[in-house]
Amino acid sequence: MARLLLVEDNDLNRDMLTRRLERKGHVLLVARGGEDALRVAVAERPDLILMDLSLPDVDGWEATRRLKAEPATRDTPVIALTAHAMAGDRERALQAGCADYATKPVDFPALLAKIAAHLKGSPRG
Amino acid sequence: MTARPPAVDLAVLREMAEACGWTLEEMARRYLEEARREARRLREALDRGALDEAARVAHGWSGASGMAGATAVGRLLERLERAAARGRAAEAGRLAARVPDAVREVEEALRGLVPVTPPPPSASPS
Repeated sequence: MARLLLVEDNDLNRDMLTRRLERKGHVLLVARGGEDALRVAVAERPDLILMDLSLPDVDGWEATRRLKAEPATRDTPVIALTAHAMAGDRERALQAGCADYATKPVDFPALLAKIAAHLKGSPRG
Repeated sequence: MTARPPAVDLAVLREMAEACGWTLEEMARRYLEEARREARRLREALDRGALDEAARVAHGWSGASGMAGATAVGRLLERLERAAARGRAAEAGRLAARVPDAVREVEEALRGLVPVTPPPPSASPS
């Protein structure tokens, strides 16, 4: 299974998704904000990043842009993960460099399928 | 006429507890801890006039509420998030004033699963 970085500032959302993904065999790294995500991603080189967009300090869009500009992380797939239903959020996430997008409440089987698909297509997959 | 959403959809709460490998009691306790913590952060953000932060807190808590089956709180927070994100401080404040009652309804619905009175700080687990 894969090493995933989950970037989520809400404690309960982070704990629930971490537990569910760990129970599917993934190894989870966590970050609570955009700056934290950048630091962990460069240091730990996860296989894939699940990025909430609404974050303190650096938001998810900007964090993704910076990840894509950083040689160490630019090939790591990022799946945007948010409850945002605002028109244009999906497009903004993709423009920032996200490979895909999942809305909350999370459709867990669909999210697992997206993770698997992007891991398969990644250079380290 | 739209039916009033339940304070807690126990089927959703139970399903999430099972998915996480937690008991129902553990899931309920975690949600109530989240509600107390986020209610405090929300109030502090609005008191400072930090509407962006209030919108962000409401956003995260709303999502967690939906996942935990706290439907009424989740819908109230969705409205609060929209108001705060649009800079409507008075509307956000009015909606925030309804949050404590909505949380109390959740506590009542979960009575029997977890204590409704928060433990004193000295007894809180780390």
